[in-house]
Amino acid sequence: MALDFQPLLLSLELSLITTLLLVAIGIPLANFLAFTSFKGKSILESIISLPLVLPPSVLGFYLLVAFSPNHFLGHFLEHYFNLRLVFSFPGLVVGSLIYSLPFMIHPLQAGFQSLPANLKDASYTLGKSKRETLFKVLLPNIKPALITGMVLTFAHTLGEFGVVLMIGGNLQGTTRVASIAIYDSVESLDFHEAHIYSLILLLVSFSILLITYSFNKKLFNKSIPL
Amino acid sequence: MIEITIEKKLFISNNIHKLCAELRTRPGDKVVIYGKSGSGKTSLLKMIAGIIRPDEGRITMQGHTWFDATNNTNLPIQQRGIGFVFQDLALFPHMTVLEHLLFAQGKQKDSAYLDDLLNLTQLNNFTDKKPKQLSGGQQQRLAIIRALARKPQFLLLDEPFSALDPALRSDIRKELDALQTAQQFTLFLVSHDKEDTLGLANSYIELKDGKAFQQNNQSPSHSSAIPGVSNDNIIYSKDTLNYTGSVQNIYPIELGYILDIQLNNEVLKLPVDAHTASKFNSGDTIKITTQNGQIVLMTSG
Repeated sequence: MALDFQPLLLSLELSLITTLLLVAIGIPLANFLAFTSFKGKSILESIISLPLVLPPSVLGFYLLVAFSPNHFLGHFLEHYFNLRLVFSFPGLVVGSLIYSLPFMIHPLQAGFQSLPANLKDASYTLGKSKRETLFKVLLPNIKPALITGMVLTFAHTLGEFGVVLMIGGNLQGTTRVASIAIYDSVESLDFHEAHIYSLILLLVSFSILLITYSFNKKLFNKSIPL
Repeated sequence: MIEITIEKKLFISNNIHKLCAELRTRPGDKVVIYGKSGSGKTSLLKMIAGIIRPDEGRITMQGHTWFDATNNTNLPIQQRGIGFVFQDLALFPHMTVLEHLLFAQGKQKDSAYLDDLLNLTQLNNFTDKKPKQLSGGQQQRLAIIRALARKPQFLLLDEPFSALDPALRSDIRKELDALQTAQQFTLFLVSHDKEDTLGLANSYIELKDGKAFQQNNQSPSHSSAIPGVSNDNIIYSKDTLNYTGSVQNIYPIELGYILDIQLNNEVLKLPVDAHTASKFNSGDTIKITTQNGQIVLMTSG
């Protein structure tokens, strides 16, 4: 039987979309967390970091409940936006965004905080706005942190299993990503297929890390702490 | 007129210090703020720039209110028209010398002016170099011309000479003086060491015990300041000083001249700069008085 490549493509698509969206969300959020102190900051940081310690099935369970049309959020999204997040690809994206958020935020926040405080002020004294300072002064100086965040997010989403299974299930072509396909193959005792999926995921993950390490070393002359 | 009246509680070395500063100066003046480390010099400079918000007070620059605690006015840093040279320079590691200047200049696009700045500071052959590839002195110069690239009305410098050797310090002082003469910006310079800045300013502000003490030199020629000679050698007194003596001898030292002045039975050795020394000859009668806390030397008769 020919190998079904769709789970692999779906995994790559999910990882890519999640990474790009998290770059857009993570940069302003990490910038805010790095330079602002406010009441309740620890609570926000704890919420962002929760996926690091929470069993994925717990996060998946709560998301499943929240996205269900029988509950407020799920009902609201379906009623007003015609969007159903349970057992759908958009649901996987939302779940992955939450699940991988700390993997993007932590390196970026650390990167911003490692910059000399005066760098930002120097740009302001030159008449530059906060946005221009962020994009032209701060971000170019934390490129290794940005690459670290992107690689971690991509690789983490690629290997996601618990959250995906809980909110997405195992629908072929919609939510059946590579990690689910491996589990499914093993369940049906198709070890040959499981081997191929696993080997491909292993090679993809290793290649991403290898390219990133070499690229960072060559470009920034420093290794990135993953 | 430039009028600054501010109050700020500062947290220095886990202690709370209250800084109260009141100073007045004129546009185009060169003002040195000095004091011991932890006296709040940098904080005062950053409050003028808008980087730190004072607790109370008012900052008025040539009729424009930058800060007024009573009606919550606080002009953003970007709109204050300042140039700021940070103690750690805060150069942008990813930009070359030229990129620094183009970024700083923004939409003004005056390349002839940038060329002038580069030529004056001898950075014209290093335009494609990044800060890491420059020497300490070159980095200092880059920080100064970056701050001047958009022709600010006010230049604020935080310890610009502290990391430089004496020769380099002297060069950069000359360049700074030339730039100030050409552009007539108001200069606020912070230094922990008044010696470093002697002869540079026409107004000195000492921060001590949380308060600012201002001394104005109405005329620079009244100053006996010599670069490199400690001001402790010069008599500062609130009491009026009035001595008459005769110049016995004038001889050069490394950074100026010494006047041997016979006062009654004692000989006073007074360090002066070259300009002041040129006014006297051996045998002249000399009158020593004070004005605005500065020593004034006059030929008598």
